[in-house]
Amino acid sequence: MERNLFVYIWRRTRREQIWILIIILLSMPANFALLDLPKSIVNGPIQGRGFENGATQRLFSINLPVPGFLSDSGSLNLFRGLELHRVPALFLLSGTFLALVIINGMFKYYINTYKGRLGERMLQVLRFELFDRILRFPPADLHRVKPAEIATMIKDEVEPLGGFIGDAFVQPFFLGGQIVTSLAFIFIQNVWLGCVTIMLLAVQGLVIPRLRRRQLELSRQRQVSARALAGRIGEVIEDMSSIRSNDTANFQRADIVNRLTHVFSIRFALYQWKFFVKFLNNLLAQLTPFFFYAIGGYFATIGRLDIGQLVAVISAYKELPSPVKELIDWDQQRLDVEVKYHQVIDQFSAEGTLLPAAAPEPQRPLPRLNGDIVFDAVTVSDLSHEKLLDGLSFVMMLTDIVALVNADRGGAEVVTEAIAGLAEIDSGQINIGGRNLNDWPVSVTARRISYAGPEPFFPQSTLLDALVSGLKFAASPPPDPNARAVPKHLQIIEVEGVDLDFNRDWIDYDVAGSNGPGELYERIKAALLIVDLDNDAVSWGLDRQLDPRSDSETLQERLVAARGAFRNRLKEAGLTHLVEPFDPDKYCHQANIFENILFGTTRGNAAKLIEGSQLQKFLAKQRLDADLFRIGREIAATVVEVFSGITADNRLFAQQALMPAEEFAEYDQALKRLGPKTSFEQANRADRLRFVRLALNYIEPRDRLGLLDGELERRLVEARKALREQLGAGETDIVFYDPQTYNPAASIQENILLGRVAFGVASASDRVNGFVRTIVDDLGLRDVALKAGLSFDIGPAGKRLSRVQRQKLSMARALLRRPDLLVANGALSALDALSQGQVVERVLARARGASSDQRFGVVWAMASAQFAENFDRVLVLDHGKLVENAQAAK
Amino acid sequence: MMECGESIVSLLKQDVEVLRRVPLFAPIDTARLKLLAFTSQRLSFEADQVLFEQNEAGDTAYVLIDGSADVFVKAGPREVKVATVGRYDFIGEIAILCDVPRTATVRTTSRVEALVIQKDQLLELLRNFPDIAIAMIRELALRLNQTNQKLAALAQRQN
Repeated sequence: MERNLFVYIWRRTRREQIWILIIILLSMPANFALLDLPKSIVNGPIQGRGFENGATQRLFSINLPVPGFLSDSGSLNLFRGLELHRVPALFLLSGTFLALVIINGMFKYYINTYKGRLGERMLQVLRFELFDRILRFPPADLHRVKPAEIATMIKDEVEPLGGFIGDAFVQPFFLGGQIVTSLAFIFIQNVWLGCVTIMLLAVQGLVIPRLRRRQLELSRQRQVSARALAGRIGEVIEDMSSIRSNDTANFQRADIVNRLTHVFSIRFALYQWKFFVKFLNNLLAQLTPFFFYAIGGYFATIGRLDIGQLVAVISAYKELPSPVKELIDWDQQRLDVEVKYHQVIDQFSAEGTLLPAAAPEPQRPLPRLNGDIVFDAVTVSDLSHEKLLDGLSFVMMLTDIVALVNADRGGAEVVTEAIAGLAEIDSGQINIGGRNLNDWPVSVTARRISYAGPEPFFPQSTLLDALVSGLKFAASPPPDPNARAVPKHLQIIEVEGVDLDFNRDWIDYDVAGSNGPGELYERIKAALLIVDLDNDAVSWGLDRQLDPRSDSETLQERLVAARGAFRNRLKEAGLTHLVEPFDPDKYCHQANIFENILFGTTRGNAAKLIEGSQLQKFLAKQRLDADLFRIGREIAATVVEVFSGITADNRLFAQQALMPAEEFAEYDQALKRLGPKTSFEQANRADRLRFVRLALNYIEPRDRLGLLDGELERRLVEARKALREQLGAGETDIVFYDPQTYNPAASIQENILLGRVAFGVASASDRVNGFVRTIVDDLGLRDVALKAGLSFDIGPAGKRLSRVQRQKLSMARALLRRPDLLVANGALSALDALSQGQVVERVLARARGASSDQRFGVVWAMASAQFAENFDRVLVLDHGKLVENAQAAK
Repeated sequence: MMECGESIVSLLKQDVEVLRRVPLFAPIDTARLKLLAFTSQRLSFEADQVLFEQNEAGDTAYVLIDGSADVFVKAGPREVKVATVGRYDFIGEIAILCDVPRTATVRTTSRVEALVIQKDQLLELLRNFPDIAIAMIRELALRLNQTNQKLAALAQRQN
């Protein structure tokens, strides 16, 4: 990327800059006319000059000056103009003034939006170019960058560029022009005064930039320290587990305080210096009039200078400070932006050679790899020049199943990384199918070789997106070649030959060995089964809702049928007491009072409903508020009594679910305030709300205070029905429980249960989960659950998955691509021995062509030879050299 | 069999009465018993269900309210029944107090209702109310003595 900012800007925006220039030039006459017209209006029609005694003036006559031989009078009359009396002339000129204002305004609007758009577009282009560089960084350079610093550089540090680009060439051009015009005028009046002016301008021009140097240095420092701050914050978040387990949080606080103070001190110095320079600048600017008045005035008094000239010069000089100031401001902005630009560019220049730029899609069908893999005296060193691989040589067929084991610091992992193109080779070469690995286009090797590493990273996404993330090479062809999804004025960034439309389907079904999303789903299922993630996916799916778009009514009916089957199963096992079903006519003891009244799932915020006045009004209408108040008060009294003398942060508080520890004091006070005799009617609104809220949370089998009797339960069920009637059929925020229908706001498991697991029965939820699983399997709903589970959100950096699950997911992703070669590097190291053995076996069975899929080869670097039994060959490495190359012991 | 929702409503007060009958908790005043009852969970088990298994990690102790259970200790490949526990008996405390895995297996012989006391709860209780701790020491000492006497009797019989 060009180091000189102006070269960078000019190369990319040449045409646009010239266009703006032309437009501004075109706007000048209108601008000038607008400045000049008021004078004419005042002098002409308003004061009456030229209109004496009812005379008329000719307005708007256009005369084109031409050389003498074409016309006698020296000008050609193009338009005779209009003869007008005074008042019509006034109106016409005033109207013209208004028209000019509008025209000027429109010019200004166009110019500003054009400049703004240009600047913003170039900003995004610059950001893209920087991002593109990151994608092409060689591995060695990648290691030295901090993600947060790169992010802040691309996002924040180059932002001022947007505002500057539009003005980069245009501003100095016009400001310079204005200054030159004024100077010329002064010179014409009086040469000496002109010289004085120029001298003082020169002083300004020399002194100020020199003072600015210190400002530049400070600005550079500020940029670096702000960037470092962002980088450090990113690191702290990544490092959180060791900060917490080592109790070094205060050290982190001290570090950030130190950095923030540093940034502040730089900024403080910057401000002081900047405003000092401004002050000096203004001083110098006003110095010139001082000289004019003092020296020029002196010369005028002794008669050496014409007063008229002096006055003219002084008034001309009045025009100068404004463009000079603006030019100096522009220069300030230029310095600022240049510093930032250079700082950023320097960070993005790589020491090694960049990886190749984005290339057009290769020809279909993509060639397959076959033949041999040959390692020929391959040496790989690390940063301290220790040899990780030392002249390693071996040959294997692409379809071989090979395990790599380390005897002692062998470097088996490096072998896998080298094949996958993740490690740089110092000497020797790797050949695949007779061709050097580096000579193969990346699009073939990266797509036909799958790599699964020991610490896979997953950005936040659904499970499905994570699985297919290894298949997103190129955008599918647009359905209509001429249609453009993005409107033309938004197509700001294009890469030659590469379609970068994000909104198309990027999954390459072909490489995954399927001809569309349906078959892909089958392959996903197969992959999940191999890595033993299918049960997890089913679990996640049971907690999710059916997709309203894709899942049909028959599916919903099946779930309702599953409900009945589930209940029967429980009945047969004599375990109906594990689940209390939701019956619209009965009170559900395992749910709290609020849930019993609402009797449905909310799509929005349930807590809001409790606090809302709507609920209170409803309870009042049902005459339940007094009872709930009483119940709430008893609960509070019991809790306060039981916990009296215990401090609020005692862990015992956590053992009950009715009152959060922080509210204990509040309820204690409320009870004291009310006293034992106060009734509901006498209590104030806040207290009423308080106690009712407590009661709404009450569950008898859990809390065991004996506060619900059959009569109250009956009334609560009545209230339930009344609520349903009141809200009506059009209610969309609440989906009511109905034993006969499917509940779209509830998860699959909740739909099958349509009830609550009983409190107070040992191991109830485990056993219920077991039953649900069995029902799901028996009724063929496992697929449904698995599909729903694919929309599970794996969290930022896949944190909602355990390390074991992430490794399994990485392996599933690798298998889904139907590779010619699977390269695994400690890919299942987090699994326990038994599971690891099983998954490895299944992967190898697939590699050997157990299903109808093609065979593929496997190169697996493993921690110990324990799992290598099933492999065809075992290579043992010691200090980067091959020491054993044997058939695996069967 | 009982349908859910028709079960006998168990009140805090009943639980307090039960706890009062437990010899270990006898010297404790009502307020503290209420605290214990309030903060522990009530669970019901079916017949022939395992409360906990020997060598498993454990962080709960149980007070039996109703029903009975057998206590087994592994002896080689076999299990030996060492005790039967019933109403008002307090079991599972050794794993909590000594931070060891369960020292025995407890299997119900009938339907059992139990009050479950968490480790934190018990330790808090012992810290706050040393009387309970003293009573527990006494109980454990008595048990130890009983076991010693049984051992002695066994050894005598063998000779």
